[in-house]
Amino acid sequence: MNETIKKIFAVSAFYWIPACTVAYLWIFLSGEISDMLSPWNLSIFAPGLLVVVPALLMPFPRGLVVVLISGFLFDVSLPVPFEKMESALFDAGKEMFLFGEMTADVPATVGFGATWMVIFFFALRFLRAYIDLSSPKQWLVTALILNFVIFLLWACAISWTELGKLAFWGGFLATAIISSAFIVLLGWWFFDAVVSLYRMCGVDLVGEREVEEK
Amino acid sequence: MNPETRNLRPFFFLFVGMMVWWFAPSALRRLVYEAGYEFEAPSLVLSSHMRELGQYWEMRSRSKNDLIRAGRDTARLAATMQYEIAQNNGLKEENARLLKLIGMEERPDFRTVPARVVQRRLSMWWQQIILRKGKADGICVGCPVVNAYGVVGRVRQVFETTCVVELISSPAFRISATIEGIENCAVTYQGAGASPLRAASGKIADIPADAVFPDGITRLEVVTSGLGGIFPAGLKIGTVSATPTNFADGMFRGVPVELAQRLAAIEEAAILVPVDKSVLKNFVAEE
Repeated sequence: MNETIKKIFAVSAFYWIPACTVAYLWIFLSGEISDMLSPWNLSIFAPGLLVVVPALLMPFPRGLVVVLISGFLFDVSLPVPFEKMESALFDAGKEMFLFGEMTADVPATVGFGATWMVIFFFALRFLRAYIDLSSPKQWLVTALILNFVIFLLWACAISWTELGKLAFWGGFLATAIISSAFIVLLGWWFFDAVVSLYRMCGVDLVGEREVEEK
Repeated sequence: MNPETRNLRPFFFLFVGMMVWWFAPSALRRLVYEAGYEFEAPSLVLSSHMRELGQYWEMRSRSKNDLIRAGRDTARLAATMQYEIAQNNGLKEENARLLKLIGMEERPDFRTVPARVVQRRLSMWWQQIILRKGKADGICVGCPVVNAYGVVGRVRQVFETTCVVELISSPAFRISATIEGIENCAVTYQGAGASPLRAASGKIADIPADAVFPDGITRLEVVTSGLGGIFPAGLKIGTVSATPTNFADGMFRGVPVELAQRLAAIEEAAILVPVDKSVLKNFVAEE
């Protein structure tokens, strides 16, 4: 039975399932904590963690697929913001002059979070040489930095008309601090869950990375 | 393939992938979005059921005296409500007769669908809640959402078993309103969002400069006017100060609106589904 499971999850078509399962649980947990913080108008923004394991520990094509699927799951969980995303991005995209006029009527955040995560997946792949891949503490620090940068870019994109206001930066810092605390408190669980789930499926993520490096 | 070209290959694939996604047909992207949401929805609904189970066991631990007292208070409230309902029915019929006499159209009638809150999404970027009713219950985009304390919001997106409600505090929410005590003054209420650790609020920015505010009252109630044809008239929105700010152009005055209820504390709301759905044709067309 164990050998059968190992063979199944060694195949690319199923390799993404354990990582995306834990990613979904992470996104679900973020939503529940945001629900609890809603009386204070605070929320959690923590997709940075979802990029670290695929970028640092997985082979390139498989890691890319995991990041894409995790990104879409994250996008779906995001509420559509106050039309600012649409006005900032998709109103411009609604009339694209490419072979004529094209109108796009889509939910504003579809693909946007996934795009940022894929871009930083590539960036992290190039910076792997500077990170100790066997140290979960370094994974956590990487996740914190990555999450902050993604949040900064994302927040500036959807609220670009309010960047000069103090209220925006106050809210941004409050959310960034809460999200970082969330990652510090539960990031260890996330990494443990992903590595353990893959180990149960016969894939040793950390061991394979060490062999590749040698 | 030389090493330099090989190093650029990932960026080439990234560029191609992004171009394909950005120019993918909107139907495909909407399909992906809705499929992803429906995949997530059962876990949100399960989570809300688990919370209610926890509340049930907490109430089970109350003493019988507490329950008897609560039952007695509820019975008194129900008796008062019965009388109000009977009065309302009489007023409705009288209203319908008068409207017919003067040749005006009747106001739209609604079917009330109670719904529990599944998840709250309140932050400085969005003000939304998810309710546990959807297309299967006849909910459609644009339906008003209210509760005992007043207006809650408007349905923004509808899925099979859940719907997303844009709250009254969202800047994307606008409604025609009147300020009680000021005659012939139709204004537009708009949500003003929320900052962290501060209550959500709204604003009215088009009070005519010559509007006369009543003396001796510090705060005035803001209620729906019913002019939009979607929200019934007389539903509470919030309160405003009796001394609004004059704008530089001198034509209008603006005032912040303190909302009538704490939106984060809402556990249940009522979705008003119009009997005649053509009332919501503008919102349905957008969907």
